[in-house]
Amino acid sequence: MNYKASEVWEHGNTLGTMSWLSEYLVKNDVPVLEYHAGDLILESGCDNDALYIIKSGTVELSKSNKIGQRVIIDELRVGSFLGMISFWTSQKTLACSRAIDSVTCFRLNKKLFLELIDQDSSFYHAVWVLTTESLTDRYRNVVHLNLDIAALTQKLSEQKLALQDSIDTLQKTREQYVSRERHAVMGELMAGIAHEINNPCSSLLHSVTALSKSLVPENSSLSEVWNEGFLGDVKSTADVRSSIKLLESNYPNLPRPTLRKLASINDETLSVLLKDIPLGKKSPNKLPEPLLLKLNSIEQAKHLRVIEKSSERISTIVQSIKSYGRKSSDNWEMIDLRKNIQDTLIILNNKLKHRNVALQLNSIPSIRANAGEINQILTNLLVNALEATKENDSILVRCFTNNDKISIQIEDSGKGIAVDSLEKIFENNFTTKNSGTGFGLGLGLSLSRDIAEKHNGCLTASNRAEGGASFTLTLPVS
Amino acid sequence: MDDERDVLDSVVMDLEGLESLFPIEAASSAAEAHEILQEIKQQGDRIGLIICDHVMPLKNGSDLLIEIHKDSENKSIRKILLTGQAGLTDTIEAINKAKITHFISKPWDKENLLSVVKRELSNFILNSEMDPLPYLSIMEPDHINKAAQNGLMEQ
Repeated sequence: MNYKASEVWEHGNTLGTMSWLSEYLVKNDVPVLEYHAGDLILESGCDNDALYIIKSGTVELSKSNKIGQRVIIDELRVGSFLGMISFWTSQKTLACSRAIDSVTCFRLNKKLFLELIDQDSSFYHAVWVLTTESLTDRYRNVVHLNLDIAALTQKLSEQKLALQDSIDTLQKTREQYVSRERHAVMGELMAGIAHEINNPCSSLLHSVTALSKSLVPENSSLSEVWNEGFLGDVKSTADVRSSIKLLESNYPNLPRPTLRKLASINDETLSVLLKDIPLGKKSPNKLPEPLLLKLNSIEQAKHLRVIEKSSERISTIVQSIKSYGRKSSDNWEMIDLRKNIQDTLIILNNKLKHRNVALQLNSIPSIRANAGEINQILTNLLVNALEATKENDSILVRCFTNNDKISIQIEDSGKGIAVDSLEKIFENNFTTKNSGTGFGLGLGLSLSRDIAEKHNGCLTASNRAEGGASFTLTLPVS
Repeated sequence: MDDERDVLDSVVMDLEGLESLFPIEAASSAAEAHEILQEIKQQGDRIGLIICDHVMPLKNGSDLLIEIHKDSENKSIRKILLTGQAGLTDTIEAINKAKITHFISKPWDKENLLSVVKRELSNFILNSEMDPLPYLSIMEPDHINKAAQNGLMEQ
């Protein structure tokens, strides 16, 4: 029986070649091995000097990867060769071959193989056809695998990008949450402290009001000067100084503390009080008793007024802290934004007193908003304006209506914003400040814009023609 | 000097007992403080002590004291910073550049303020080689001893 490769070539029939080869190998007493499903045929990484040709059944080629997982490389059927590479190259077996179902294989060791090759050119041709076929198949698989890998890699890198985006968003949300939470906690803390101060402050105000009524002297001449002390204008330090000088030359014998007390009384009342006191060298070194009494009355009234004014001031500050810090959580209500501006200005007064702050608060309608969050925006913008400016620089805060929208504008006279940063400043983590300088988390503006958008409004930045930055918060009139 | 009038008046009132020896001038702004300094010098008088608030509009206290200290005529002036809140940086600046001799924090205690002011004024008197005799009433024993050791006292 002869076998011609050229015939097979024309018909492309692996099975035909294999059936010829099977017959041929059986005839030459080549041993046939039998395997059951799951049986190991060739272990990977072993010496091998035989060529296995699958006679029937299916064999799985697999290999363990670096982390010990078994990866399936290929499935081989009738006519395929096992141990081909190790057989030809004398290297260790590359992959592990295992029977998937019942498998029969011819096993040709090197000696037998060479004998058959020498003995019959038909055998040579058949092996050549099957080897070529097998290698072409495997190569085709490799090409497809490479394409698959490329597609997978592409998909993987897309997923990686998407994942990174998600992580960034998550991180941003987290930081904003922390910042918002911190603002809320601080607000609540401040409101708590303000409440504690508010009670004694109310008592103080109440008592001062009561005292200021009951302490008015009954004597009419005294009650007049009392009112002068309690209600009279406060002279400027410069006026007091020039009055002292004048009095000093008129009454050189009076001690300075007395002169100072007299000097702070308004000129009209003073001329009435001093009308009987001799001038010049004849001036007394001590005021007459009735006049001292009046002077004391004025001083007392002044002290009482200081107490009253100071308590009122504490009360105003405390009220602002309370309404500033109040309801930082999800509490929406009708608010007059001018109140929020005033509260925030009072909270930041300590810093703002070194700036020239101008207000143009036009009448605006109340809108539905979250007061705590609006305060947070205003605080951010004002702190930015503060940090962008130096002492004595001016900051302008104004509000106005514009069709059905309300705008709050905060302008400073600082260096302004680099043109290519005008949008970037609203990005997360954008900061021009060194870390460790108090506020600069790089979250302020991004958070502020988020809050504005939550209110269906917007927050924009621009540079003023005359220098400095301008931020505009625009909110719809609901 | 203090921008808050009530605070300014209170400090002056607390110190008025010293006025027979040391007239007090009060200013409510940095500009006014400079004016007063000028005026006092023109009258031929000397300035022994400046008490200055720290937090003020337009210029903070330590900066003003530094500015005053730059003038060589003002080096001998004792300087007290009266402050509700001066940060560490401001404080260091004030000590290094204005030779602040004392800090007093708000709210202050009248007796403490008085004794600090008396001590600072005593130091001023001793350092300026003036005749200490008229000022003995405000001096503490160790200042008087020092004055005696300096041989400045006639008796």
